[in-house]
Amino acid sequence: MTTPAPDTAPDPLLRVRDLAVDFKVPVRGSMLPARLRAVSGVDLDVRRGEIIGVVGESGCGKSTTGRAILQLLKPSQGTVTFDGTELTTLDRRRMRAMRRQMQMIFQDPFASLNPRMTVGELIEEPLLVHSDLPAAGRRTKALQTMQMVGLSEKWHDRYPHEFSGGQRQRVGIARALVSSPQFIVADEPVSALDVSVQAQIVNLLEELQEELGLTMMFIAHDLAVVRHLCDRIAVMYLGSVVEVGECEDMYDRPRHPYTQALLSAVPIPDPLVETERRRVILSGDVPSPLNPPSGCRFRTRCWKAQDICATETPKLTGAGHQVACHFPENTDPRGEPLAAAGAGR
Amino acid sequence: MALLEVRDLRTEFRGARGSVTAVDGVSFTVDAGEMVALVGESGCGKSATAQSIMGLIVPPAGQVTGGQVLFEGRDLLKLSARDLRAVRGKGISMIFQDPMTSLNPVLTVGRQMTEALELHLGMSRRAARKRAVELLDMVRIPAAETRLSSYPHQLSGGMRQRVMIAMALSCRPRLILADEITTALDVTIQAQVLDLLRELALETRTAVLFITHDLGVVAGMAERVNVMYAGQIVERAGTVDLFHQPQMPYTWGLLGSVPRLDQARGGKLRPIAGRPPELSEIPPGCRFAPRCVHARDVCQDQAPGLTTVPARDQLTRCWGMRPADQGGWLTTEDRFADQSAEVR
Repeated sequence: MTTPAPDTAPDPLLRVRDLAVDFKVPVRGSMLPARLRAVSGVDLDVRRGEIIGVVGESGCGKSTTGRAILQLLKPSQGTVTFDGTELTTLDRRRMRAMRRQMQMIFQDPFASLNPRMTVGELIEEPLLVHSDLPAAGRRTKALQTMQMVGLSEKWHDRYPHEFSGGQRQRVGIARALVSSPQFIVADEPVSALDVSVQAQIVNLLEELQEELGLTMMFIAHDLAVVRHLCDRIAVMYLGSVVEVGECEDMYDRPRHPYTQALLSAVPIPDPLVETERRRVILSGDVPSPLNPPSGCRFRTRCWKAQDICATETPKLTGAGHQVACHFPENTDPRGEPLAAAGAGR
Repeated sequence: MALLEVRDLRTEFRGARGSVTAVDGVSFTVDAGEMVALVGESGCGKSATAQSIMGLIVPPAGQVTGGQVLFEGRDLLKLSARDLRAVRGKGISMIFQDPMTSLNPVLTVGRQMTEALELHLGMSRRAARKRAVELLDMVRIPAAETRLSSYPHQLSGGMRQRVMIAMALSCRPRLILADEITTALDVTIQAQVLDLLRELALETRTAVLFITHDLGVVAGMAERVNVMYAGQIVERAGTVDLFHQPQMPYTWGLLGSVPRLDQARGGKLRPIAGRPPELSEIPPGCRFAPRCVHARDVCQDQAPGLTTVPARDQLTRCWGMRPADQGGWLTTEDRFADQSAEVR
């Protein structure tokens, strides 16, 4: 399948084309597993030095996309080009070398870590793989990184169970940064944290991105956090990107009906604004990815759906602000009842 | 008389290092038909408060050690198990965060709904079944008749929560305790569920005690708000006042920490330094003082009471917000000071 290059940004750091990821799921009463296409035909460019937010609801494929980009999951089709190198065809050894440049921050970094290692050892661990520094050099580097993420030196020899959620996430960030990568995929890094601590981590990520000139893919379901942090946003629904654009543009002039509904559903912590807002309340639930609707996958919940939406899958089109919809919003939201983002302003 | 009046409630839990007081002298009221929020971060005691009201704190793990829970004038803490059962369902019902843990996985949705109707309202099986269909229709579950024979795992998260709302409303209670009911749901489903609860509560004039950590949800749902911190209520206000004239530095910190969808990128969030105290290591003075950039010596040494803000229908637990002639040194303008000065 060939897709026209959707983004003409010169020389992106990461170029994803027609990415698909399948999972096999067991079917009751059958020897053969069913194929679940979790990510389907994703095109995405990540520009150097930007934070791109990838948003969507559970099961939309945003985390799977992040993992497939880092080759932690094997894509079923498509290409992932990082800084000119095609990742999908690299052998394991060369991919491992690439990983120095591309790291991941997880929602709960300690779910997958050895509880018997000290924080210092945990932070140094990536350097064993990604550098030939001697022990003393690794220690120095780990301490520098700890300072950078706001962890006091005294924590170096402590164990993770002694840490609060916010401190653990700082350790997770330090582990990702210690090998000096160019590109970070952050998968829901703040969603398990209480709001006062969440704000500390959001500010930290913002500072680090500026200081180190990082390129970041920020995967989240909280659209307010994403608006606060990101330069551009990609909205996913049931495995596909339905809209991409500059952050301000997406929030002020959402064009896809799903983006409009998603934005209007986010509560705003101000009762005066809340009472004035118009909401697009979607009916029904997200369909099963095992049996997605034909054509446009959003059509079963869309108030604009016509016959063509069932027969033809809309492609991501447009320059800069791209949308995959047969009937995208074409008017400015002022006076337009359906575009509810930032209502009351 | 308030529908629900909680007076000086105290609930303790037994932990590895002795017992901790999760709810420490909490008092508030809910009037008939009113929607009141209890908001705070994990461990602040908001859920323990709701469980205490419902009589769900079971020794030896935990125990309500003091106070009164007056529902329509009767103290629920003094009721026999049998009398309390009669209040649950018909008087007060509760909706939890995860319906999967409160729905019985081996009974159909229909059986669980009709059971409550038969038990509390003495309906016949047939009448109960008819009512169950009406209730599922009311919470907009499509094909209600056939859904009665579904098991909980066959429903989506949003549908399960709507079934819970239907069950909570089934015996026409005067009060619903809604504990983090949308926390596990996606945002578009959350909007559906909140919309539904708001509408039905209004229609049936049911009061709701809405427990959440999400200030955005509070803004759209509640008429009055109680903010909890480390087991105590630290501020109480009408919803508009709470968001526009907050009177307690912890509330300032919460509001400064939340990014807003309707605000353009740019400004930094103003987080609160540190984290809430462990319940086993409650500071002697103001419980928020160790994280408060405005704290003075008095805050470290003496615990402030929950006092009325002069000329406002608002309560705060803060030495600094006392009137200036009583030694206060803060005004609401100070909320824009940098809370993060001490972060890290």
